[in-house]
Amino acid sequence: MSAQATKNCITLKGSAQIIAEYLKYGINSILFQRGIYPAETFESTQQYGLTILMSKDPKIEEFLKKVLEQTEEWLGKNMINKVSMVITNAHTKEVLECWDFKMNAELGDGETIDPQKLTSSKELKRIQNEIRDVMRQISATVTYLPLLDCICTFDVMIHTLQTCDIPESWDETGPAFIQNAQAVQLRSFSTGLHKVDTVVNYKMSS
Amino acid sequence: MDKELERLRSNNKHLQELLGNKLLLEEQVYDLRSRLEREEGARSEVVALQVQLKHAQEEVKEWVKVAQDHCSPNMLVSPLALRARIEELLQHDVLMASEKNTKASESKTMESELLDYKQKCEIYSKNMEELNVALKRHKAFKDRVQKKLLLVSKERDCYKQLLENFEKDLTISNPIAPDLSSTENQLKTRIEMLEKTLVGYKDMCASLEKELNTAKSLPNSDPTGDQSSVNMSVDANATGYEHFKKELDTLRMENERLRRRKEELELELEHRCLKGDFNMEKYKVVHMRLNPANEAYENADNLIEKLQAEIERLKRKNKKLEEDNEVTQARLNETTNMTMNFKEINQLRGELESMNSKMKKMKECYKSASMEFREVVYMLFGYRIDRVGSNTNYKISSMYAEDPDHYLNFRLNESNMLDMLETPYSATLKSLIETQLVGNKSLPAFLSALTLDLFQKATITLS
Repeated sequence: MSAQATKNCITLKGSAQIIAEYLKYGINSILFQRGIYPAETFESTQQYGLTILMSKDPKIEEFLKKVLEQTEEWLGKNMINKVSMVITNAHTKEVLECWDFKMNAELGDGETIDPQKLTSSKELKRIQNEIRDVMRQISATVTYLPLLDCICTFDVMIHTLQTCDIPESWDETGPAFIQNAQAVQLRSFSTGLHKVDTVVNYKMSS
Repeated sequence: MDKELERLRSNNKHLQELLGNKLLLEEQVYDLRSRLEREEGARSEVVALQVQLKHAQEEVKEWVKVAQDHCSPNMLVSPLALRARIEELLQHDVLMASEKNTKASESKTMESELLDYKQKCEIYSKNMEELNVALKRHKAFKDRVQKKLLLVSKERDCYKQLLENFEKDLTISNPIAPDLSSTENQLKTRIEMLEKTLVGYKDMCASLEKELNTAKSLPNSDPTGDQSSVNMSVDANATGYEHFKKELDTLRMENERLRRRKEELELELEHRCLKGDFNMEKYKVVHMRLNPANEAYENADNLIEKLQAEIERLKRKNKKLEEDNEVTQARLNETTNMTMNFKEINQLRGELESMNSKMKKMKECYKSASMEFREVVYMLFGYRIDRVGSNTNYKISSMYAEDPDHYLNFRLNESNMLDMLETPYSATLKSLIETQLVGNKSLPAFLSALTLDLFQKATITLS
């Protein structure tokens, strides 16, 4: 990197990359923690100073890779309102849980206010620490989320601006509704250009 | 004659022609009459039609008038125009209705605004009242301050005078040898001055006492009122109640307003929860066409189909097995019947055996009994009775018979009487038969006589 790198400067693209990475680890962690797929299909890696279990299933890896590439691209243009990871019952298609990652654009602290050239000088280490705290909270949710005692599956839905072009192999769909929902907001983290709120909505087991 | 004939013939011909003409004319008359009738009918119809026409024309005129009334004056009156007019009116009506609706909604919004303004107005008026109260308080405070100022200034004047007096005294006492008159004068002026100040003090005292009295006479119930602010407390007491009431009212109103707002927010929250906090207008939801959920759904569907097929298959199999089972069950039942038969047979066989043995025993028993009986009879009556064959023939041989061939033969006939049959031995007993059977007609007597006879013979031979 050039001299600019020493100034610890995060661009919109870099911010999108950080968030996509967070989503990758976050979604994998949720898949493991919530038992959507068998534990033996996961292997552990080190990230953010934590041990995170990542799916080994090539299909899931491929799917997440594609989704997150697209997410990163759209995030770089600030076209995403939120990314939802929806957990549904595989038989009845009922939505049981919805993990919302809400994206809020921030102006950063660079000199320019050109929306494409915003920068933030937040240290990567600090951002990663914030992300680590959220990841820890995600792991802790297992203690109060209701048990998923059926075969479940998941989908990633992205809430984009109406003007956003949808690439091939993507479809428009409806939002996920949860009957009798309870929402818990976890910690937020910010890259200086994006603030990410993580919220879990789950069906109250009554 | 000929002429006459000719004339008559012509005459006849003429008459025949006339007759023909007459018939023709009759026909014509009839035809014309019927035509006349028809004409008359037509005429009456025409009249009716004319009447109808008149009515119709009148009606049309009326319609035209109506059209004229409703069409613009310089336009040609026609049904089309009228229709256009009606359509226009309908459209107008629709427009009016929509306008009415908008107006109604506007009026509603206006009303709500009005309500808002009223509330605001009330709040402002209350504020104003509060300010007025504050103003009054301030005024009272000002009055108090002024009074105090007055008191202080009076005191200051007093002190000044005193100071002056002392200074004068000093200046007076400085010259050590003054004349008496001057000292007297000085004393006089001093006394005067002191008296003046005394009067001033008295005045002040009186005025203060007066104030105190007026203050005391007013009801002093204000808890906040301390001695220094008697006036203010009285004021506050008078206006305090109203002030608090107003404050209470404003608070109540605010409470209501906040409650309404809270309800609105709750409604919105619920709405948002239901909608998944999703703004349809601004955002759209996209996902990958090939996602794990879809795959899982398809897998689940496939699995269900497969399972259903298997269920069907198993049901069929089950049915088949049940049928087979029934057949085997039936067979099994048969075999059990057979075994039952076997059992029965065995049982019966056992019974039969026991019966047979019983019978054998009985037979033996009877045999021995009959033997005994016969032996006893032989010993008692001296005759052995043997039943010969299946007939009712009885062979009787005596104990004392000389020869075993000497026997008698009897037969039981249908009337249960014994007939004596001839034997070679009976032929030798002709005299005994004559006396005992024919004479006494007794078989026992005969037999006894025979026994006696044979006994005697035997003893003779023995002896």
